[in-house]
Amino acid sequence: MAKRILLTAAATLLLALLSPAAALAQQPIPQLVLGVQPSSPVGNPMVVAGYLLDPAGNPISGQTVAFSTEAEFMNTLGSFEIGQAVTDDRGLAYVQYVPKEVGTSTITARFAGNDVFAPLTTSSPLEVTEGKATYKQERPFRIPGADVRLVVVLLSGVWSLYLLVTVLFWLISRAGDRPPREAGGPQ
Amino acid sequence: MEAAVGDARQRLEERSLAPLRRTGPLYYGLILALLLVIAWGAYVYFYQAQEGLIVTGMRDRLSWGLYISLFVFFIGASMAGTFVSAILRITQAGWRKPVTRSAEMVTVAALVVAALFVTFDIGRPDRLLFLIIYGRWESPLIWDIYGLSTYLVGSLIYLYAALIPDLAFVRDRLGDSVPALKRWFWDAFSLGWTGTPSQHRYLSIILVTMMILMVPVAVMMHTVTSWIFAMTLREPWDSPLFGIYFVGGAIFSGTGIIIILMAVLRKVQHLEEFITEKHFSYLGYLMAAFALIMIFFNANEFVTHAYKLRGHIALHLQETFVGTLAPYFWTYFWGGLILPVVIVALPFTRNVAGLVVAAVLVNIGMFLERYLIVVGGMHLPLNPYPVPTYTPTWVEWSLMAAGASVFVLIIAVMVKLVPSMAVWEMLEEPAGEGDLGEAQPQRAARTARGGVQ
Repeated sequence: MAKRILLTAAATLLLALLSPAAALAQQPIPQLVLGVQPSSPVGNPMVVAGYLLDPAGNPISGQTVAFSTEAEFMNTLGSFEIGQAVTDDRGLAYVQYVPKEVGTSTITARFAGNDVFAPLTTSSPLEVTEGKATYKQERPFRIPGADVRLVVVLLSGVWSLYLLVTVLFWLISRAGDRPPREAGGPQ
Repeated sequence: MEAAVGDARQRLEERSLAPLRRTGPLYYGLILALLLVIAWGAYVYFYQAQEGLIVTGMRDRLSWGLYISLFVFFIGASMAGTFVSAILRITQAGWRKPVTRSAEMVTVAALVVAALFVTFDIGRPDRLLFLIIYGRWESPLIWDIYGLSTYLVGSLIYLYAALIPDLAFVRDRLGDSVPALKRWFWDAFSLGWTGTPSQHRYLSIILVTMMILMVPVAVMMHTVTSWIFAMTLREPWDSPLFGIYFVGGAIFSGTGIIIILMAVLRKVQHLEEFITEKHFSYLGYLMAAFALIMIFFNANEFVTHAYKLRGHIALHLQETFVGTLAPYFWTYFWGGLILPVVIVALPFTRNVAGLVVAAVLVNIGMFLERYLIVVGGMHLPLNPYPVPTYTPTWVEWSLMAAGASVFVLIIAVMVKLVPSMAVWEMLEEPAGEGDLGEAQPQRAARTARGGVQ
C-alpha cells in the first residue's frame, strides 16, 4: 500500500514538473523579423524595427518587443538595452538608436512570449562605419588593471587582514594565564 | 595625590560597573516602548511586503524616497563612529578615551539600521538575494554591498578588540553577582584575558592594524555610497565632488550623534566626572569645522551648477531655493549649518546643553540634506512630464520610527553588556593626561584591576 502511495506521489510530482515545459512546447513559435540596416555611420540616428507575426504571417499587435545590443564597460561585455516598443496593428515595433562605437555589433530583438505564443529572440549584425559625428569612442577603451580583478585584489587585501586579526584573537585566548577551572567565576 | 588618583579610579570602576549591575524600571520601560514600536514596524513591513511598494509614496518617476534618504543618513552616522575613533587613536589624542566607545557603538548600530532601510526599499525581501545572485560588479549598488559588508565586519572587529580588556574587567569585578547568561557572555567574549604581556602585544597589533585599516575602509564605504547617485544619469547628482561631500557630511552628522549619545550616557550613568565639558567642546569644534566644510561644498556645487545651468539644472535650483523643496533647504542651511557654528562659536552657549542642541540641529539638518539629495535629484523629470510629487506615507513614517527604535535598542542593550567608556584605556593613561589625576604609575592600574594591565 505504502509503495503504491509513494509511486502515485512520484508520478504526480513528475507530471507537475513536466507540465509547464510541455505547455511551453505546445505554444506556437511566432516570427520576429528584424529590420536593421546593415551599416550606419557612427553618431547618426537610425531606426531599429521588428515585425512580430504569427506562424501564418499575420501581425501580432499590442506585444512588447525589447531591442538590445552588446556593450562593454571596464573590460566586461554585456547586453545594453536600446529600448522597448509595443507592436502596432501591423505587428511593427521600432525604436531609435544612435550607434556610438565604430565596428561590428549585433542588434537583438526579443519577444518575451505570452499565453499564446512562445518567446523568441532574433539578432542581426550592424556595421558601424566612420561618420561625421563629433564624438567617437574607439573600441576598446580600457584602463589597464581597472577591472574586476582590481576590486577582488582590494577586497581580498582587506579581508585577509580581517583573517589575520581573527588569528590574533585566537592567540589572545591562548596567551592568558587564567587557570581553566576559574573560567566563568570571579577571580 | 596618589590617594586622589586612587579615589578617582575607584569611582571610575564604580560608575562604569553600576549600569551593568543594576537596571532600573525606566530602562525596562524604554526597552518595552522600543519593542512596541519595532513590533508595529514589523507589522507594517509585512503589510508592505504583502501589498507592494504602492503603499509608499514612491512611484515609477520618483522611485527613491524616505528609505534611501534614511539609508544614506545612517550610513553617514556610522562613519563618524569608527572614523573618529580611529583618527583619535592614531593621533593619540589623550581626550579620546571616554569618547571612543560611544563612537564605535554608534557605528555598529547605525550600519545595522542602514542595511534595514535598504531591505525596506527593495520591497520584496527575496530580491535581496537577487543582488548576490544576479548582481553585476559593474554596478555601484553592488560596490556598496561589498563596501557595507566590509565596513560592518571591520567595525565589529574594531569595536570588539577594544572591548576585550573591559569584558575581562567586568568579568573579574562582577563575577557571580549577575545572571548566568551575562556571566557566560563576559567569560566567553573576554577570551581568557588576564593582561599578560603577550596578550597586550597581540591586542596592540590588532588595534593598530584595525585603526589604520578602518580609515580608508570608512572613506571607501561613503564614497561608494555617493557613487550610487553620482554615477546615475541625473543632472543634480552629476558632480565629482559627491564622494568627499558624503564623507564630510558623514563625519559632520556622526559627530553630532556621538555628542547626543555621550550626553545621554553621561546623564543616565552619572559619568560627569569622566565625560567632561572639555570632551563636548572638542567634539563641538570638530562639528563646527565640518559645518564650515559643508557650507564650502554646498557653495561650490551650487555656484558651478548655476553658472552652467545645464539641462534641467535651472528647474532644480528653482525647486531647491524657492520651490517645493525650499523649506527643507533653508531649514538645513540655517538650522543645520549656520546655527550650530554660532552655538559652538559663542562662549556662553558652548556648554553641554548648548552643544547637544547644536548636535540635534545638525542631525535634523543633515537628514533634510540627505532628503534633498535623494528626492531633489529624483524630482527632475527625465521625460517631458510635470515635476513628480512625493509625500511619504504612514507606512514609510512607521518604518522610519521602527528603524530609529532598532538603533536605540542596539545601543541600549550594548550599554548593559559593556562599559560605556573604554575603562581599560582610561586606567592606563600616563601621568598628566586625561581625567583621572596628575600622576600615577601603570602598576597602580594593574593592581586596581586585578591583572588587567
